Amino acid sequence: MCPESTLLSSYVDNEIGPADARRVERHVGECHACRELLRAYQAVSHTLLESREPDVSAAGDRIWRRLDSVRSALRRRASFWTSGVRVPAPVAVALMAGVTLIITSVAMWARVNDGRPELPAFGAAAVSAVASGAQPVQWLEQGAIVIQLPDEPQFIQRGKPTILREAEFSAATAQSAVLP
Amino acid sequence: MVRSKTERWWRDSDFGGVYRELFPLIFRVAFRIAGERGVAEDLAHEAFLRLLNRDTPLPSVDETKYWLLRVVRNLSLNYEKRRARERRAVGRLEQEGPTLGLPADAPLMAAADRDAVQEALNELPHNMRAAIVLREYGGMNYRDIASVLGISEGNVKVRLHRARRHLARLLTDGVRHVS
Repeated sequence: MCPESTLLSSYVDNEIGPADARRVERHVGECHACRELLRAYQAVSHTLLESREPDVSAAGDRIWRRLDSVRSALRRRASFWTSGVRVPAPVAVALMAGVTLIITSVAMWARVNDGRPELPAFGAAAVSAVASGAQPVQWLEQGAIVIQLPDEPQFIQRGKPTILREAEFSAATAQSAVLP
Repeated sequence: MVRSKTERWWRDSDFGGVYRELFPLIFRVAFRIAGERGVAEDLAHEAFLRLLNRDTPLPSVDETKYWLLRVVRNLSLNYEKRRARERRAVGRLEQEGPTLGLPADAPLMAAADRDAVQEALNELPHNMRAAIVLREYGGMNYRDIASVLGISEGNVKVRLHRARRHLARLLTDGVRHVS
């Protein structure tokens, strides 16, 4: 009985085990039809490999030139971001010192001008006047300042002020007019 | 981030060496599947261009080879479908009215690009042609062909057998026709 013809094709490709290979060889020795089929399959492989081919090296050169231009473009684009810079040591030190000086200057300037108005120089008398609260009291007495309290005060006590002593705090909360 | 990976891949690896090693095989397979030199060059160029633009390198030359062959096979399949659509469109135009004097099946490829073997290969369905080309011109075993084509080894065996049967008939007829 003839083996499957796919087995003959696999035999040509050397893709069957030794037992099957021996079976095929034994069979084609006896069966003229299978022998002719095997020869035809082998002839196909031989013909394909012997057939004329285009010039591979010329095509390879042409395509390499096209690919190389793409690679060069990629390399240029990459080198802009990844390439190093050579700087002499004295120049590098000078640059670092300059950068440090600039950063220090900016930090000091920001510290001086941190959003608060610049305080004028004032003497001990002015300090005592402000500290004693004489000026605001005087303005209140003159009617220059009017403190308008809401009709229905809704002051919410948020907690005990820590700067007051316990006795003062208790006394303050006992009064009806409590400052917020 | 992706770009930096790409840059590292083509900067660190020997792309030229990979190209020199694999181009003859890739081009030969592309030529036998596509059937035309010009088309084969375009397919091979596109395959290597995609390799160049990969985000990550492939682990080995063998993996690179299989990856390129898969790309060539897919590109050739797309090309063949497009060509079939164009032929149908030309056929419809011929039926509808006068043409420019060019028959629908006019040979657009140079005569030097064609031979009896290639014409016989062109007669095969794409799936059989890809299998026999990978086997005969790619020198690949059934397992690797199955991997490239995305089919089972049993299917590879059947396709190769059918391809050989068709080719044996086509080439024999061709020889008789010539003689």
